[in-house]
Amino acid sequence: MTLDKIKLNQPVKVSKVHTEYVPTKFVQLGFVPGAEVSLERSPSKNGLLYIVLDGFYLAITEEIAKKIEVEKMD
Amino acid sequence: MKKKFNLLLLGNPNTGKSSLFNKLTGLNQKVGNFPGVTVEKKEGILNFKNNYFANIIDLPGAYSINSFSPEEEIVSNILLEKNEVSPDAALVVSDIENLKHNLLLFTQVKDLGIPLYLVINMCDVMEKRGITLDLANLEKGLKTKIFLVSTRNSSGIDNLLNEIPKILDSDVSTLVDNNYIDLKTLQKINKKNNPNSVYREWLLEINNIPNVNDLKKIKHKEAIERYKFIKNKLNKVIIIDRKKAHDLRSKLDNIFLHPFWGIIIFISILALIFQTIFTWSSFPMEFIDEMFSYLSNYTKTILPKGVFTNLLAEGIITGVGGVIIFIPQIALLFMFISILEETGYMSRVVFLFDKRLKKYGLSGKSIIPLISGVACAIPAVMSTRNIDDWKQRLITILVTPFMTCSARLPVYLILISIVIPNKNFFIFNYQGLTLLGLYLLGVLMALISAFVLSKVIKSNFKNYVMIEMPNYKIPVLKNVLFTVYSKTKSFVYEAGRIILSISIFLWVLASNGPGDNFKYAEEIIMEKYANKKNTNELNYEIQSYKLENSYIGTTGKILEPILTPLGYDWKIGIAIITSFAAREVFVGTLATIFSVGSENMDTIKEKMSYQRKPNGQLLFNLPTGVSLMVFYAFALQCMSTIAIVKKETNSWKWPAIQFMFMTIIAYISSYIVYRSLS
Repeated sequence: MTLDKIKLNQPVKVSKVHTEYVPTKFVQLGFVPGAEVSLERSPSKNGLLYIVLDGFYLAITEEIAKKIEVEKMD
Repeated sequence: MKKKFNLLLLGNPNTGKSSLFNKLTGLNQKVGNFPGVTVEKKEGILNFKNNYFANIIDLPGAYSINSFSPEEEIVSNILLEKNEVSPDAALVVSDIENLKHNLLLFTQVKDLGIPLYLVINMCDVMEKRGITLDLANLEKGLKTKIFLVSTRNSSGIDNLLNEIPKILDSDVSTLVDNNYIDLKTLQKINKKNNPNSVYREWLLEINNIPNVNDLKKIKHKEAIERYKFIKNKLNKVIIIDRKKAHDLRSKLDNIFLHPFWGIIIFISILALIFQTIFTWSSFPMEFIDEMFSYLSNYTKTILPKGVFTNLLAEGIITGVGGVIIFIPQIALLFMFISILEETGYMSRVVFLFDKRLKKYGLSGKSIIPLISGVACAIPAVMSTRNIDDWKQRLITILVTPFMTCSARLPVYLILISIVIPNKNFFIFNYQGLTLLGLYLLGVLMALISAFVLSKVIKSNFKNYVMIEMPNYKIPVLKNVLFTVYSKTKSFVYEAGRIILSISIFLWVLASNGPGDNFKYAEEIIMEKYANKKNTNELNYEIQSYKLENSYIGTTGKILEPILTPLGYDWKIGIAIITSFAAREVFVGTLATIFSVGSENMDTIKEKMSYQRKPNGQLLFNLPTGVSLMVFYAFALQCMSTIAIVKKETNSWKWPAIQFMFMTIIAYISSYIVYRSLS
């Protein structure tokens, strides 16, 4: 599953980041395997996902979220 | 003798780094740009005992030292000693709530072997957010002295100040083993020399990797390894009880990020801000205007008549007044922008508008400069500093002057009252509709130009949207006042010099003229109108005659063949040239040319209404009037805007391009309008 598919109240873990498509900036921000991500608000029509990455609140584009693979938390 | 060391202030954006800078340096600071770029450089002095002092340099916010933005490139260049500033020591600022993310930059700086302290800010919210920190173990794990501070309530600042003199003796051992990241490059640099900082040499070496994807992979790997290290260290020392974290974030986000109400709230906030700016700034602006006018007249009365007195009274004092008069608007706008940023609301605005403006090559943050441009382009252009992406920022700077600023209003009002009938179309008045149309025309041209410029301007940096959504906070008054102070100071010192120079230049052109007509203006007018007019009327006639025969007047006449296709004569040409000082001068110049004793709209309007062209047609008829309004809607008739664009882009290239493309658009549009209506 990719990050753009996550739902509210269902935290996930980053499993893989596609190096060739994801800018370094995002990896440096903490999108690394094992990082916990949850959706803060339902996706809006403006193409931005408001998420929480290990306690860090940020909005990223769905385009980038599609390149980050996630898995359900144990 | 004084002993000085350079102390860098580093940190991710939104960690309170600038607030700490203000706390440490007070007003002992200067603001400029880093060489060759328009990224703000703030330096300040921190004095200790025994003539010992630190030169504190507040570096731009960065997430990492090996990334791609212009800000991060500056940080990287300074840390790798490619810049004029040599880093002797560093304070890495972090936010207690985002410690994990902030530590990536910290581990990188630490591995460069620079003596440093870690300053963890916003510790006043620890209890509220359910955060417990084992400081001693974290210090041990990171081999660094850590300070818990709060720039909001100043806790921990005194302790930090006491310890800064000892920073140069800090432990400089490294944290992350680069062998895990890139053994191949490491072996290469170890063979070449014996560097003091392996990480530094490695950073310099990897930039020679020719394949972009290989370089990217290494950088990703570095970040992953560093996060492994950080996670390992933090797991043992920080506990966050999220159930205790009772904040208003979600509730406020539901309101401010609502797709409909969020925009309504934003428009209401802006309306309130601009209303306040107009109301609050009008009194000090009038006061400044009157004070400089009085000072100018007073200078003439106390000094002997002559060129020097005129230069001082009409050129320099008026020019300085032309700079000072902008201060109330600039200060108020930046006060509000600073409050919006401090509260965390600005990030929500970017979230709401980013997609809408992206279509035109702009950023969500462009909304503030664009709307501020309705008041005045000067503070609006200055406010583009909030836009991270260079290309989006440049486009915003270039198109903001299309927005209808308040200085266009007197020009529009007088022309509308002369050429547009005061009649109704259903319930709408034609004159009101025309004014509304001119405002919309400005917005439309700004968006069209932004779209075109986004296709033309190339950038090496591709910006991927990432909006940090900080917590909502009550703004700290001191931070707001510091922002107002530094922005106002930089305007007065940098743009002010250019505005003053152009003012003096325009004064010289208007106060001198070629040939005898200018020199003997008084005699010529006295002879022509002797006994026909009273003293006041004669004075106006002399002023008008002098202006007509001055260098500006002569230029207006030279330009007449170029202006005729737009329906203008040399008199309008003069008004266009003089209004380069400020658009509203257009009305005053026409008053002088038509020998009107006051700038009362009705009197000037009456005079203008009677003016005829050599062919007998009215000078200010519908085609000419609308053509002029369109010209003023699109032309960059404002030297102060040019000065501020030069300051903000750090070159004359962009204001020159902007002046040219806006003038060309204005000329062609006015020509089409004039021809269509004739």
